[in-house]
Amino acid sequence: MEFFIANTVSGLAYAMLLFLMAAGLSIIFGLMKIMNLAHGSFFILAGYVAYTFSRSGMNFWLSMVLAVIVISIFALIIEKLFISRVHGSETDQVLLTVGLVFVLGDLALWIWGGNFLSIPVPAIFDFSLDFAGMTFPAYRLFVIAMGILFAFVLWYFEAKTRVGMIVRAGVDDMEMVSALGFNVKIIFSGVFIFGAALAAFGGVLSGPILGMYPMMEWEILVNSMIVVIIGGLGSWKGAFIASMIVGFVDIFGRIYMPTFAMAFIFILMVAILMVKPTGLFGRVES
Amino acid sequence: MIELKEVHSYYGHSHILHGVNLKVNKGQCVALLGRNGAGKTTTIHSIAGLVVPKEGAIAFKDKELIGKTPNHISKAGVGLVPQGRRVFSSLTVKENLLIAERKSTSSEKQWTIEEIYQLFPILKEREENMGNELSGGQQQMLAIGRALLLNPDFLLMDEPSEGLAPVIIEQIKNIILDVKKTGLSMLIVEQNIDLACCVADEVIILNKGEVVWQGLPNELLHNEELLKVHLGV
Repeated sequence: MEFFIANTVSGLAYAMLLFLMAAGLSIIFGLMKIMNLAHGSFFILAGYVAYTFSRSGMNFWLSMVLAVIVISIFALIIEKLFISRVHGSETDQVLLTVGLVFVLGDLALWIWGGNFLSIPVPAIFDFSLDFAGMTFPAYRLFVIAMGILFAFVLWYFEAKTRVGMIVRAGVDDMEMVSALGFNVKIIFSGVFIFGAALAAFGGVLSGPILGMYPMMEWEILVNSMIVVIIGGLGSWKGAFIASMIVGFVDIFGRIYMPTFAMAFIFILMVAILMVKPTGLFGRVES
Repeated sequence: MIELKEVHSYYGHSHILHGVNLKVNKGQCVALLGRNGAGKTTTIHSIAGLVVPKEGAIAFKDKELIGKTPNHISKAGVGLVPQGRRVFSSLTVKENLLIAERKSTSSEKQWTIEEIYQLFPILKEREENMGNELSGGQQQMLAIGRALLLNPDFLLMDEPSEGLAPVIIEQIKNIILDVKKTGLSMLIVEQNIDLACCVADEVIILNKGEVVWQGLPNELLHNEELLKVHLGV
């Protein structure tokens, strides 16, 4: 039982990191119809940037804020220079964003090298909690809390704000939103930056747990895409539920049948799509 | 109010509008009729900026609209009730109206959500329902209400009676007449000739992307050959 609970906490922490990554990916796809395969690069680059800041003597929190800002600005440049040119062409989007993954991966390799790097756990959470005879790393509990907090923030933003209302309408019919007088380019840029900032936040949070290493962007991207597909394209709620499913299957699969851990996730995805082809919270395009 | 001069529009390589000329004066309601594929919706889309004409000019309040994005055209004072309603299914009825609510400095009539609810009481009753939970007629009312809340100077309506039951069409007709009384200029694309001739001050017939006839509704209704040749009646 203790073993199960301890790994449940690890699974939840991993699930929340996946959620932060997948929520942005899903919202960007839902609104902009852009499949941004470079989203994983934002995640890992944020970890590297925060690592550099923390190595220069900054504390974890300042490093995190600065890394998120740097990646958000970087995402804006990527959106304006490249992404905005491939709207409406899925092939171009895939070729462009896969190319970006390779370029950014090599850039990271050049700057930070090929070794495993990790961000130190912030001092305030560098301890363990003992409860009912079990030990829980405080930082993992903090990551879980952050994931839940951001799920609440996303819910509030989507359901209770005018911007959220415009984004929901945009997922339904962006052309009509434009015909009501809203500037589509600004909405697209805003959502792209927001999604990248979420991924960057997740990337820094994951630094003390998963670390950073070459090709990590592909691993996190594949799992995030499975989350997006299971949850339903364009739905952050779907991303939240699906990230927990994938997080648990991944963690417990690695423990009990490590050779088949990845296969379990794909089998799960296929099974869900057979029952609900649009994913758990996805909608059929009208 | 608005004038199209020699407008040529394309969908990809298909040449749809072949030099359309039309004019809608302030406070006037013009109906655009024609068979399927005549270019009626393309004309509406060309004005709203959803299709960018390759040639010609569209002057609205003495400003050129061609080249402007749909949001700029909307802010300039052009409202759109699109074909197929296109209400936002993820938004409630109230949110569908709130998203459009905008004050206008030039429009004489300033619509509010309460006035829209007075015009369409059913929308008030169903304000917490999602957009896709409404019937076709209710969605049409919502689409009209949403466009009116932009407080436009000029309203484009694309087939407001499409797919509706006769009793609902009668309601929509009365609503258009009520809106017309406020002095709002309108261009209405319709397949329903009776509705179009009832609400319009002037009728224009399009055929293969060209204006082939223009006149008063009564002249059209009494011209059997015109009805037969261009509208298949």
